[in-house]
Amino acid sequence: MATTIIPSLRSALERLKHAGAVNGLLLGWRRQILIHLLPYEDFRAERALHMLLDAVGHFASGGDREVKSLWFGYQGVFALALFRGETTLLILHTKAAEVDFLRSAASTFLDDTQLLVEAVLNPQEVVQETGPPLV
Amino acid sequence: METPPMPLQLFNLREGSVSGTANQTLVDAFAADFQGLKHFGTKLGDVLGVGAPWTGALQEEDFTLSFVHFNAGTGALDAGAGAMIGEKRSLLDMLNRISEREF
Repeated sequence: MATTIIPSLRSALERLKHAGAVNGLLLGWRRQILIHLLPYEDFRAERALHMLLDAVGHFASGGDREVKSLWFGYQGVFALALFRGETTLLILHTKAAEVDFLRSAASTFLDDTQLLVEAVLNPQEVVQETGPPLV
Repeated sequence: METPPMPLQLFNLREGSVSGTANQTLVDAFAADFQGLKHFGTKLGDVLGVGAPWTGALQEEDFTLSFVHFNAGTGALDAGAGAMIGEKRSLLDMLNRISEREF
């Protein structure tokens, strides 16, 4: 008897959290939070997501520009945001030297998890096709 | 014939103005992106309770733009430098290149 093994979105994100000196992660779809692993309250996480989307919208307005990533350095922490389709990933990390590795790992994560994101957004369809919910 | 990608362009931030050896169109383009990036970086910093950013970068498929404020000053008049290039460049490399311009 065979069983399909489906990695959960949360566990994939937890693995990404161990890719470097990462303080927290946030995964969003459009303007809603899918998974919140930031050391902040929910309302702050939501505002951070909206802020990032507003920034992308600002640069895209009036042209064909498509921002793929934003990176900010603050006192003691860096914020790296990646955008893939309607999915946003925010990573808080502490070592500037890790930014390119984290960007690469996060980009792979976003590529690999599009189906899992789809499963979270449409759990009933996925249950019928593949098994139990994934989060 | 394909247009070659824009080479690395460097800019200075001093007393609220942007200057550089690039032509005025590129200086204006950098200034507009810098202002937008700084604005949203500051708003994100406010949400996270970490203040204004001392560095920031924006990346598209074939474009990278970065800025750095020197000496921990992050105000509108504080000194800094910036750069942009027509390719997807390492963010750390951009940060290092700009930081070398500290004066």
